[in-house]
Amino acid sequence: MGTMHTLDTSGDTKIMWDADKQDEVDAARSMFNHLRNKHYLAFKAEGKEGRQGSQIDRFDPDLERIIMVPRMVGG
Amino acid sequence: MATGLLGGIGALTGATLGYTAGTNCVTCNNVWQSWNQQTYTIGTGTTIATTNTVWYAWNDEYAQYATQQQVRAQLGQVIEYQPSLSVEEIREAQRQLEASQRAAQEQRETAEAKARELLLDHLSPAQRANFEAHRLFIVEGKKANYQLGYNAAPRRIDRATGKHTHTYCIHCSGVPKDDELLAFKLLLEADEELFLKTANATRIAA
Repeated sequence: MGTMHTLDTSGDTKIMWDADKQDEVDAARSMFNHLRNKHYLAFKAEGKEGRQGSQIDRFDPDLERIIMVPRMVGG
Repeated sequence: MATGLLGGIGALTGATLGYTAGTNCVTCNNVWQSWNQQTYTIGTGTTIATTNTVWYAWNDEYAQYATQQQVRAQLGQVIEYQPSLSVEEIREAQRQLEASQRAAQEQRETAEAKARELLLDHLSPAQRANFEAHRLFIVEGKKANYQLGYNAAPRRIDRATGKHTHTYCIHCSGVPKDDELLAFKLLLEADEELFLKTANATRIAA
């Protein structure tokens, strides 16, 4: 089961999918692409021990966790 | 003056209130009208020294309005007053305002709690301990270490000396503070160059 956390005003919004269920994967991929088009950055994360994640450009249904981060700007 | 005072009441009650001299008076009920008539009579008489500037200005506006009323009456136009809010209506508006403020506060607290949980899920045990004790943690980049925390902008730490060398002004707006710290951490670990390119850096004097 994969989870995509989108950071927002509510803290975060979660989308979960089962990699074996195509409709869930399609919905998650669609949201991923939508957010990427809005310049969100996507990071993959694993475990809960703060292991270094990495940036991703494409949705991978086999990932455990994806964090979608709104565009950052310099002050 | 009248507009400011009424605007204040409007803000408190959420109602649309206002009085623009020369056009309309949407808040003056009979009580206020009577009051203004009395004080205006005093203000234009010999006892003007007893009225202060506030009442004078207010009455002055009312005087313009009263003059227009006379003109309109002569022209056969009828101006109707809107009924003023009752005490119970004002109390109800206050209750609604307080309820919406409480709901917004609860929403903020829920969002902050979610963001805190997500951030802690992505910190190492050492980072988590540091964050819980001091509300800051250190992220190891490829070029340097960075301190992320609540009470200061992200800072670069020279690995050799341990001194802070730069501060960075960067924002991830529209998210709780803990989400922002998580965003900085993820970006520093995954693409330090992009973080440095995005943020505005300020060198800290030695």
